[in-house]
Amino acid sequence: MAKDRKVHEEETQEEAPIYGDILETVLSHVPLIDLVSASQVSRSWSGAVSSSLRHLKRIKPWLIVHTQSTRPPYATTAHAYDPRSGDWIQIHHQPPTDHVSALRSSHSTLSYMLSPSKFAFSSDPLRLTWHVVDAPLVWRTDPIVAEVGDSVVVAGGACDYEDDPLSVEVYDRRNGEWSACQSMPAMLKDSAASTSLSVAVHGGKMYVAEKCSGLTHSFDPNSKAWRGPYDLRPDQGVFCLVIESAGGNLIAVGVVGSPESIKTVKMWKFSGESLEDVEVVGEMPEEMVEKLKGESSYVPSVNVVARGSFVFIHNPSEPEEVIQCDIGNGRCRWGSVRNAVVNDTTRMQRMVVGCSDVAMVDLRKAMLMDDSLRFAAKHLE
Amino acid sequence: MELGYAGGVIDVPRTDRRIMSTMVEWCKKHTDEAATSDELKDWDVEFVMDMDQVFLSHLMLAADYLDGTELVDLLEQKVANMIKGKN
Repeated sequence: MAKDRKVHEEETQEEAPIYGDILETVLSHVPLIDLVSASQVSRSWSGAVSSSLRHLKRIKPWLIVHTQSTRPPYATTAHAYDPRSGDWIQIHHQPPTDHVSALRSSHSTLSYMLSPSKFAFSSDPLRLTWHVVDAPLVWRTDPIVAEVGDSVVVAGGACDYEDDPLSVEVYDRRNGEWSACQSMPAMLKDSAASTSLSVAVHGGKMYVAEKCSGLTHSFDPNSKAWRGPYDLRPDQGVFCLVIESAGGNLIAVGVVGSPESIKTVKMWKFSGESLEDVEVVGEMPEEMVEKLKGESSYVPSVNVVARGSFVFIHNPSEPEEVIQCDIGNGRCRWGSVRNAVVNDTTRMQRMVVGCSDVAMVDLRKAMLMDDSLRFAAKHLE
Repeated sequence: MELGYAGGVIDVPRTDRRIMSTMVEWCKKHTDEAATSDELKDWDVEFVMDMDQVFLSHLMLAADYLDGTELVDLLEQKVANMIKGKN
């Protein structure tokens, strides 16, 4: 049957061009990384790619997952998940190897490595470009680090014997200089480290929330001043509150119950000068709460990254499942995806999760950047 | 070209005997009540396996013209896979 078709084509020599609706539908089934070359076939294909992306299957933010070995030379791997096509992509590229230290991230768009002498950070969508500058003056083991506009804010995480464990320094990317700022609010003195705090960048400010209490402060890198506190815990049953910026609002994901016995996971959005207007965005369906609990049913905290209207939530103790939620158009569409990066080897390693808006221009730039930079689509099972 | 469809005749422009017979073959298989959905899936994979771009583009146009949406979906996925670099 199939063999019959390998017949000489005397009858149909000319190619019937594929165009219009059919071409755009075909392209909606093609992963974003392959659309780059598809858009270079011809002008009409380039138009079809744009139209297909705009009307049929829009671009969605990517989940960026890095792992880092805990043994020298501390090799890293980089993968990304594209919700649009449901593909996992391996990115073959290494952060700078001469100044390697623990890879970390405090919020969705910035990854960094901090050593006593150097501070390396990356915030481009695919984390390909790394900037290496002198480390801030105060040595910190576990600070919160956020990029707000042209500034990179490094706060807290300083050792006990330092003068000021709440010290804040800001790196200005325009002139390459560090400056000291108003310290973090005194009430954070026992929790001024990234393990107890969650960070979100929204409306040109950095918001810092204490996970256990929901008490939140904001920092403006222009005035270099702190404001707050704001009480962002709308439900007293929440034992862990994590903030992020999504869907145009400051949002919070709250885990209700206790680490050993979680009842539910809810999402709220805040607006108003002092974040006084609270609205429920949605509640995680039971089947996804079960996935978050994993085998141990232990959820001490959750990790939340977001971009655009997409929110990704996972349990760092049971990272196999990532719960995703699209909060666009006033709705809440929940889904889950198996984290293809998690395996017996990577479970023993450091894993850093971020989220990026990846556009065609970013992929084109990446493919031109480095001959050895390759994307390999990695499929589950 | 006559198709004997519901008693009427459908004129299909710019197509040839091979395209039509391929489509009839697909329709016959997919209207076979004895075939299970798994069997149909495997048959579909083999059906498109050796098709080249020229043949595919003609077949897609003809199927689209006849509103054979299921067949069009299958062919669109096949072309998308070819763009992906798989086959």
